[in-house]
Amino acid sequence: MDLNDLQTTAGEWLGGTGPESDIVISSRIRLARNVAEFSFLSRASQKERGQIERRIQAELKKALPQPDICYHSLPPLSPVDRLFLVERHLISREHAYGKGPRGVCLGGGETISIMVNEEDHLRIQGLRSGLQLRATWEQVDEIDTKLEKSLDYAFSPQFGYLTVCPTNVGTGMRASVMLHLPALVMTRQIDKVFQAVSKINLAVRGLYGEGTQASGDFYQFSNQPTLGKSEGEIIEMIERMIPKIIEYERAVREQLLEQKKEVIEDKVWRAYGMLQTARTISSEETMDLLSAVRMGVNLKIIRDVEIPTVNELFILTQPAHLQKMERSELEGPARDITRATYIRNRLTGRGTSTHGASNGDSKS
Amino acid sequence: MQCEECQKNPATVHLTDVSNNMKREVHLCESCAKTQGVTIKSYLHHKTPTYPEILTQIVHSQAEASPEEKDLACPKCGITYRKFRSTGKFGCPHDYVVFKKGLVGLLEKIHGKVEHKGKVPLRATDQIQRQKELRSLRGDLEKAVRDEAYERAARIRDKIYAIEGKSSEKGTP
Repeated sequence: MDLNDLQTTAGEWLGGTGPESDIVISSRIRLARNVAEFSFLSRASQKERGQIERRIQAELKKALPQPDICYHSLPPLSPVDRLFLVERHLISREHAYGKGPRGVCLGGGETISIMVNEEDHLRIQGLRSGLQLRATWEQVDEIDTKLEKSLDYAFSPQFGYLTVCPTNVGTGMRASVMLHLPALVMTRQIDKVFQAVSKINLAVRGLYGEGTQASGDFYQFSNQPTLGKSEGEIIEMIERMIPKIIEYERAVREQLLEQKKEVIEDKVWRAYGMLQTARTISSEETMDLLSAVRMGVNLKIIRDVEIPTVNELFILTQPAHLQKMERSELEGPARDITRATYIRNRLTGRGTSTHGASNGDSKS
Repeated sequence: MQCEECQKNPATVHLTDVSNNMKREVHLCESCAKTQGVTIKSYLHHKTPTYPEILTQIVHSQAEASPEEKDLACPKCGITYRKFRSTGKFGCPHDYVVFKKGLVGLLEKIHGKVEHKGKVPLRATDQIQRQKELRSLRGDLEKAVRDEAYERAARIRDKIYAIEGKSSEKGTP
C-alpha cells in the first residue's frame, strides 16, 4: 500500500457506517507493548532502536497477512507525508516528529495501525467507524496474540504489561470513542459532561489526542486507569457511559429544534453557505463550519449532502492532505485558497473525488 | 524552559488547559507546582476535565519515596528513582522490580489499583503456572523431609528438578 493510494480512499472509520454514527465518529483501541529483551526506548541508543525496529518489523511480517499489511519507515518520509499520517489518525504527532529509527505498519483498510518505536516498542491500534469498541478490541487482541507467540513481552504477574510510563501499565490499553457534540457545546452544557465523566475516571481529549484542542466540537473519551481492570471491564465502563452522552446530545438537539428552530437553522445554513462560497478559508474556520453542517445533515435540515462527505472533508481539508492533493508544498495563504476551492467543488457537486481541487475555481 | 513562577528553576511540570477553543499552557518547576497545588487543582476544577498532563504531574510531584530510595538505581539500565520521578519514564522493565516499594503507592494514586487483571501472555501463563507448581512442590518437599519420608522427598525433588530444567531450557528465570 503506497501512501499516495491512501489519499484517494477515505478509511473505514470515516465511512459513517458504524452504530450511532450520527454522533459517534470512531472507536479506537490501542495496546502498549514492549519486548522484554530490549531496554525501553527512553534508554535505548540509536543503534538499539534500529535493532528493535528490525526485530519487530520481521515479526510483523511473519504474523500478519500480506499484502494487506504495509510497513512504512518514518525517517525517509517527507514532513508532509508524516503529517498526512497524523491527520488520518494513523500515527501520533509525537511519532511523526520523533527521532531515530521508527515506523508504522498499516493494514485492514486503515483499521489497523501499529506504531513501532513510539513511546513504547509497540503501539497496536485499531480504529473503526461508529461505536464498536468490542469488534475493534477483538481485532487488536488477535494481532497481539499472534505477535506474542514470537515476541517475549515485558510482563509482570503483578503489574501486567510493563510500559515506559506508569500511566499505561497493566493492560496497556487505551480505549477511546470520538464524539461529535455540537449541541452540547453550543448550549454550554458540555462542562456537565466533563464533570460526569471525570468522576468515573474517563479522560477527555481533543480531536488529535493528548494536549490537542477540541476543534470541530469533537471530543475523545477514554479510560484513564489501565491497571486493575480487565480489557473487557474497561470497555464495559466506556460502553455504559457513552450512550448517556449520546442521549444527552440528541435531547439537546431536539430541544434546540423545538425552542430555537430559527437560530439553529440559521447557524446551519450560514455555515453551509459560507463553505459553498468562500474563496479563502482557514483550517479552524473550516472545522467550525463543517461541525454546524454535520449537525444540520443529521437533523435533516440539509438534505443534499451525505455524512461520509462531511466526515471526509474534516480530514481532507487539513494541511498535509491538501498539499498531497495538489502535489506541491503550499504556504498558509495558498493553502487557504486551495482549501476553499476544494470544499466548494465537493459541496456543489463539481468534484466528487479527492482530486477535485486541481480543477481550479469552477464556480464563479 | 524556566519556571513561570520563580523564574529560576527549570520547568518540569507542564499543564495544558483547553477551554472554549483557547489553549493555555502553564510551565512550573516541581517546588512551585507543589506550593501551587491548590491553584492548579481549582484551576482544573473550574475549567477542564482531567488531562494526561495531570497524571504526569502526579508522577512528578506526588511519588513518595525515602531519601535512600531516591538514589536507588536499577542495575540493568542505570536509571535512578530520582531520575524516574523527574521524567515520569522508566528505563527498562526491571525498574518495576527495583523501584517496587515506591511504585506501589504511585500506581495506586494513578490507577486506584495495584494488581493486574486482564490479558496475560501465553508464555507468562506457562511461567506463572510453573512457579505455582514449584511453590507447591517445595512445600511438599519440606513436609516430606519433616516427616522423614525420604523416598517421597526424593521423588518430589526429581519433579522440581524436572520443572526447573524445563524452565531453564526455555530461557525463563
